[in-house]
Amino acid sequence: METKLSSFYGGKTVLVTGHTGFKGSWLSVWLDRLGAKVVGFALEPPSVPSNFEAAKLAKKIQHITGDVCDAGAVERCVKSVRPNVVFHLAAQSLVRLSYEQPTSTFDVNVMGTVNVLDAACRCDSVASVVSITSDKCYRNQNWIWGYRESDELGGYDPYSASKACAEMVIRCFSDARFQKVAGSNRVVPIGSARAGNVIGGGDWARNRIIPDIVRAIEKKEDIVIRSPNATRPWQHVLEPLSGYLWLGAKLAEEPAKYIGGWNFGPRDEDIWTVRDVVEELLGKWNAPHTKLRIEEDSSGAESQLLRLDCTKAHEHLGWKAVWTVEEALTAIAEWYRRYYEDPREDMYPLLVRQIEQFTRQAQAQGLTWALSPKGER
Amino acid sequence: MTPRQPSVDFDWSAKNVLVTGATGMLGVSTIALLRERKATISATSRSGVSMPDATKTMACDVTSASSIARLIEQTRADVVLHLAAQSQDTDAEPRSTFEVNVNGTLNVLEAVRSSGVPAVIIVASTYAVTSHWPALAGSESEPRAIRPYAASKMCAEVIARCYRDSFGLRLGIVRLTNLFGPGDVNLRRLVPGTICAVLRGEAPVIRSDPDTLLNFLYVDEGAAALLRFAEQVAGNPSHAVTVSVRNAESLALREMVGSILAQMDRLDLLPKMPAPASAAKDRAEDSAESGENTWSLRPALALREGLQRTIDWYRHHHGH
Repeated sequence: METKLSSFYGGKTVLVTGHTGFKGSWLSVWLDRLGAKVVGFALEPPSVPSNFEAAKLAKKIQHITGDVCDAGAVERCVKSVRPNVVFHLAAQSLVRLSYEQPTSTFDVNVMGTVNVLDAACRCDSVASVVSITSDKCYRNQNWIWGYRESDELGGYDPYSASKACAEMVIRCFSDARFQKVAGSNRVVPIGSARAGNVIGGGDWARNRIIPDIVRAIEKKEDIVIRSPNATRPWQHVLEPLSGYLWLGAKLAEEPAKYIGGWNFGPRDEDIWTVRDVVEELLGKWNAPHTKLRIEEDSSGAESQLLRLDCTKAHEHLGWKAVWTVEEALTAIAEWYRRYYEDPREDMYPLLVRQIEQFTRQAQAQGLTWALSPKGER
Repeated sequence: MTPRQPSVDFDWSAKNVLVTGATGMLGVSTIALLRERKATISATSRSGVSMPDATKTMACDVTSASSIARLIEQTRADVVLHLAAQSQDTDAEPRSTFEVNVNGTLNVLEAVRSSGVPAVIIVASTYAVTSHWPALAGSESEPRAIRPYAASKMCAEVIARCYRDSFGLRLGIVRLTNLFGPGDVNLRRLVPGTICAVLRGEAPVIRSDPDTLLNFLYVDEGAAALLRFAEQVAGNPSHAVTVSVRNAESLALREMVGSILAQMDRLDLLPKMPAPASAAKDRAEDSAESGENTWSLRPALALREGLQRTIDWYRHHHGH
């Protein structure tokens, strides 16, 4: 399917850090289908199983095992790959783990970003860099309204604080004057992308509700939830990825207009209760051995939801969410059902089919990135 | 508030105090004050060289987590004063600035947490914070450049706050204004740059608008404020998290240079400087106060006296 994305990424060399992770592996598959030469740089997959293994990605893209904390390894990788676009996703992305391992969380998320941006800015093949942080990079002011790109940064827990720091690193490196002083002949445009937790097939992270449901169904156990009425945003992984990809293309085309921070958050109507999501997914999966069991625990105070205001991405990138929560859950149920029918099966074709379905719907909704390259917009 | 007075109910003589970055300008001054107060001092520096007063320092590179953890454990520190920082912008090598200022602070905080040190003070920079927080926030219109030094110091503050919030460290952050005094080796700064130019018999250079107001504080005043805040953090459970320490009065760059020239008796050396931006410019501060806890000091030591000590130091070391 010809789109503005495929006409930009076709034939380009794209470096993805963290390509073994949940988001990174989906992004790598998408880029591969867009015709890019994808090179991944990351540690081994974070979980067993993983989306990376399930899609047999090691055989489909160039796969480099490396640690973003190792400045020398990052530099050697960038120098030899000479990418046109860099997506920096490698991160320690779990809030709970960040309390147990604060130093490695800061090391990966802050110094890792320093290392990747430093290497990218020194490489003259690079036309744009998209560095992924988090919706948690904003200082939580307990506002009821959405946070904008211009709001203050900060973080309470180590994960959030590390992402606020990563934003400061990005701001430092993306400044044209700094890059000139640092010895660059040209300025590499850097964008930072902020999204929240996402859902999708192929996620097996701990303490996340969808993987918890999947594990319960697989073991034919009940799924126990403690705060059924807690609400969360449920955004499919392809939603922010469409934003990252389009941002990477626009940064390369019109740097001055697109440098800076971008929110790619869920819509208000994507906020469902945990109970509704569990019931919907159980229904779609048709899993007779697993029932929802509620053991309400009112002691654990839910932290207030931090919402993103995505007006900037709507206005300047023409980005918006494509799938409803129901459509996202349908895709997720299909993914895991297929996987557990035969875990040895290559999931790559299904990922591709879901990406194409997503793209067709985006096209039907008139989203710029999904239009044909000759489209009017 | 009179932060100069040592508080009566805090007994430094009963404390083990570990100071990182002891051989820097602020470190030397802080160690001298701690010695006056009879604290048991563990001075550390990256190289482990002796201090000007022959105090031995222990070699400790803050970028090595195990090195700082071992020292804090061994010395059984009651108070850690984290002064070590890379304070010059190294645009060509930004990594080292982040390495020292971000990872260094992180390593100190982690060691403090795991050894259960009762109190820790992190030295931040008023310049980095007040001139950049607003810029960071207002990223939409004409964002200001954030140099690696400022970015790294802001990261250090965010990490320090996080360790306090997440792990309950008793921690204070001191944002110090522009310090001057003996032993500042960064000659790009106005005071040492001017003094050294005069010692060479050259006209000093003012790079920015000479009417720009800058806040200067003699290093001993900064060190005294630092200890005073450490007393609050260690002694008072409801202490403030941050304090900004500044001189109650700021000076135009040209006034500061003029004072140095007068005191060195070289008013004949006319400073090279750009024309003032606007004749009718009001004396608005560049670095707006950050609303939070601010100590505006009326220094005990007159500017003249502080400058004289600084000039004497450079005279003595000039050419060495």
